[in-house]
Amino acid sequence: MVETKTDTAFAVSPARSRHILNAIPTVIYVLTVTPRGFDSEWVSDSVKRILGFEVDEALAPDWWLHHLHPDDKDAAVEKTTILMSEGHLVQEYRFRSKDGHYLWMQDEASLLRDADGRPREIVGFWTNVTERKQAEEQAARAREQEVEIGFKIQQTLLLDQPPRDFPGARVAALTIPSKRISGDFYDFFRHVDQCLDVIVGDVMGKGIPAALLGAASKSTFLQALSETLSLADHGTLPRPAEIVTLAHAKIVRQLIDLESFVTVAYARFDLERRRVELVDCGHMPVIHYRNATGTCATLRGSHVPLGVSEGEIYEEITESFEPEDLFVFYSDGITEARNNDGELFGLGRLAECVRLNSRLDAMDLIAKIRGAVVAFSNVETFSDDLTCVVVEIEERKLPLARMEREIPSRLGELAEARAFVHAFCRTIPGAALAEEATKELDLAVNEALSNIMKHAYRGRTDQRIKIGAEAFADRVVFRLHHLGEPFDPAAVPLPVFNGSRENGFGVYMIARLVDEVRYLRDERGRNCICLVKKRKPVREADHGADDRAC
Amino acid sequence: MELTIEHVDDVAVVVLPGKDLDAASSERFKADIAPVLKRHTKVVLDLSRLRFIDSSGLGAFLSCLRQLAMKGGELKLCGLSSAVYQTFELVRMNRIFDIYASKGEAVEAFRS
Repeated sequence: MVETKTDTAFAVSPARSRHILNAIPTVIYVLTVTPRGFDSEWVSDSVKRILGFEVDEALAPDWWLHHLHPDDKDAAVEKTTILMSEGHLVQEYRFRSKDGHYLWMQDEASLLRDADGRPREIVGFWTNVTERKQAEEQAARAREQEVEIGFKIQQTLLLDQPPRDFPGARVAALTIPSKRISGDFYDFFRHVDQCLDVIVGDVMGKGIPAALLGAASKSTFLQALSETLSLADHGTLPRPAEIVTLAHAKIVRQLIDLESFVTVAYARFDLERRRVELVDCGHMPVIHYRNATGTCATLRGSHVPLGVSEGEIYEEITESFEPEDLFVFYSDGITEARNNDGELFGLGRLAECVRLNSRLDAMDLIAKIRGAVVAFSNVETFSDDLTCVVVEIEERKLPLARMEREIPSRLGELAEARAFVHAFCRTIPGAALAEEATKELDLAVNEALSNIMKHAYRGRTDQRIKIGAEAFADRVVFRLHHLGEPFDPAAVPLPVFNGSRENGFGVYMIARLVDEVRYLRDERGRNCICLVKKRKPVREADHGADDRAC
Repeated sequence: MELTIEHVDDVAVVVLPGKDLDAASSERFKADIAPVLKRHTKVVLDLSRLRFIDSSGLGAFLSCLRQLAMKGGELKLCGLSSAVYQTFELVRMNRIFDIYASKGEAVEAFRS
């Protein structure tokens, strides 16, 4: 019925059919199949409107071939064999129009056979799909950009370097970002050298919104910490439950409005009292490996995630630990990694991996966990972020002596600071530092302080620098805290030794004078230069030998 | 503390008065030594009282060396304590400066 109507429509008036063919957004063409290939037999007038060519031009031999995009040509030609075997083909390629621009064309062709089944002709439709292609490309670029931005957010805002020199605990962290960023975050707050707070969180959802919420949650915790710290009595720390409750109060409305929530584990490791206080806000249970029994237990609280219930009062659970115990925090990305059979990695496998590798250093244990998850799931890229933080409790060595001094940022104070270094090193109970080593440490501290005053504080004399000294049986540690600009030792050029430059020796000297130099930034935005001098204990009699002129 | 300047013929021997030459005192030293460097071409710095020098102190000596070298003069150092000498060695400045054990030897070196 339809066929008849169409036939009639074309038959009634050639002018009408011409008009129809010209008006459709498609070029129709007919090719004759010959033993040599295809001969162009007919093409609709719309070729002029869509591609700019006259019908005669479009019918010229090899016209199609010559106008294909060089990158698409081989594939397009190759695919014509599919047309011959399957009888139908749809493909897309770039095609050069008369004015030299390339257009994306969709080419849908059908093979017609004669009564004996021999290929007779090809009838095809060409549609300009450039706009759709451009939109697709744009969407792909936008997706790539989102991954890129997400990655940057994660690296700069969500994840923190675990502290590397916390006395009494070794901490390591793992993150494998997924194809789409999620809002996993972690942070570490150290309180003097006795307590370490570890915060591990996971925002519901994925993509940049989740990452931004993660960053916001993280900074809310930092804010809550500093506010509760300023309200706490001098020398006491706010409880984790107070910090979490305040942080939650600050962010709950926004989370509810955004219909999102955040799971958090806030743990405080008190290394002097040997106990951990945990506020569990719907996060994955924390694995506690007990060295004494060689078994893993899980720590979990009963609170709902942040953003679920307004006015929630959070409480902590307390657990004791011993040296060589391990704590493992992780995101659901780890336990919910699947293998080829769809099975979950699960808490059991993770705990077993921790138990089997409990003798390893925190960093190596992290590497083992990563290896186990990758081997299990048999993939390298995951659909969810894999986040894991390991805290390994060490036998805590208390310092033999500890002293602190604060000085103003004036070069005139350097002599006073050097006197402090000497006084400290000479009076370590039962084991003064050797004179030679004391002088080296003295010069290193002097150079570091002078750098802080001149560069970090840019010569301002109204600032403060805190000098902390600690002595252990095997080393003496000086920490210089300041609030000036952070210092990047890698950016300092090597000194010139030919006498042509009068400055630039300080950083080099410090590195030569002590056994370890670290440039750190702590949770309160304080910068710290940490100088470590290793030592052999000496007898008192070795002291007092003054300089001899050379 | 003022610099003490002694003249042995055309050589100016300057005794550094302080025990320390650090970032604070080296500024003062640079100002004090400037007229000496203007007037003389042969200068000996006697460091026998010095017990501590830092990178700024070394920088001050390098500055003296350069100012004298520019007008064809020379600088010699003497009387370095072992601690001070070690700091010179740390940044290889013992290879840049002419260093003598005593004031006499340093002055004598100008005559040869």
